[in-house]
Amino acid sequence: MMLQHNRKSTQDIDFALLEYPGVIPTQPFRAELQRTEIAKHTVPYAAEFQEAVRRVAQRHKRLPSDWLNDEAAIYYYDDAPSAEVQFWRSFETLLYVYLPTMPYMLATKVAAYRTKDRNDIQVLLRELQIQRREQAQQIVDMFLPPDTQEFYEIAERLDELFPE
Amino acid sequence: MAALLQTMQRSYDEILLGEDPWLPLGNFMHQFFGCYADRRAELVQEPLHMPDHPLSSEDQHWAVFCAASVDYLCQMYHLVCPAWVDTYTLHEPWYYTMGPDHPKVREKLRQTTPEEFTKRNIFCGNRTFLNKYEKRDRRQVA
Repeated sequence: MMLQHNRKSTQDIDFALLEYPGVIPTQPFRAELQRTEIAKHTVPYAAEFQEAVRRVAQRHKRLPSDWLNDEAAIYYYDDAPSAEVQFWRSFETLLYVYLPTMPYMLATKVAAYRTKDRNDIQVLLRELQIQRREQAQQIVDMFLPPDTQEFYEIAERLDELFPE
Repeated sequence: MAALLQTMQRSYDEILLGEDPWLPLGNFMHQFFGCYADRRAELVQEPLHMPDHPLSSEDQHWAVFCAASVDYLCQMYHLVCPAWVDTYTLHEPWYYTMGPDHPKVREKLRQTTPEEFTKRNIFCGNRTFLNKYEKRDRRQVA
């Protein structure tokens, strides 16, 4: 949400690894997420990655040591594995960073539907010009498989978002 | 260098300074459930700082929300609940959701909000403290 310029970020930035797309598309594209756990060193270069995260935290006294983490990656992998992303930038051609698109963020935030997500959901609905339940359902259907929708009670969430 | 503890006291200070409440509260949650899970008592122990001037209605809401959150988290994680939380309650119900005026939405919130919130007149549902560090595999908890 921060990089989409909708709000400031907390000190908890989520990341998940993508399958390498080869040539970087200029438009948003679908990419499969990889199930990674940096703490268990299932991320390539995990030790180096952790060291980089730690060093940045050392330079900023307010940052916790795990300010950049993949604790949420497992949820995305399980529940919305085909992400829609857009290339953001690379760092020294070593690290390529992609941002989730607003439709993908909306689908995953409706699934999570924590109290803290509600402002984000409102912003995303507005930015995507979604005014009807069916429009929101269409986006959810793009990213959340039926069993995920059932588990997260998506129908009930959409009833709340679009009360009759 | 260790990061500053994002206590509930600090979080409310930042709310009073005009931050979007879910920025400091999000940072609090990240520390409570994540990297400082071993320091939970410290994160909730200190009372909120109250300014000398009267609080706006919104700031009152968030003060009570912070107190209810501490009460709830202490019950959930078997911490000794600090006495300061007992002094906070709202006179009027606060339905904290989208579409708060809709009868069905209100009814759902009344049914699902934990007691630590409802007894203080806050109705926000039961999804406030869901977090990525727990229930790691939904198929195991379904």
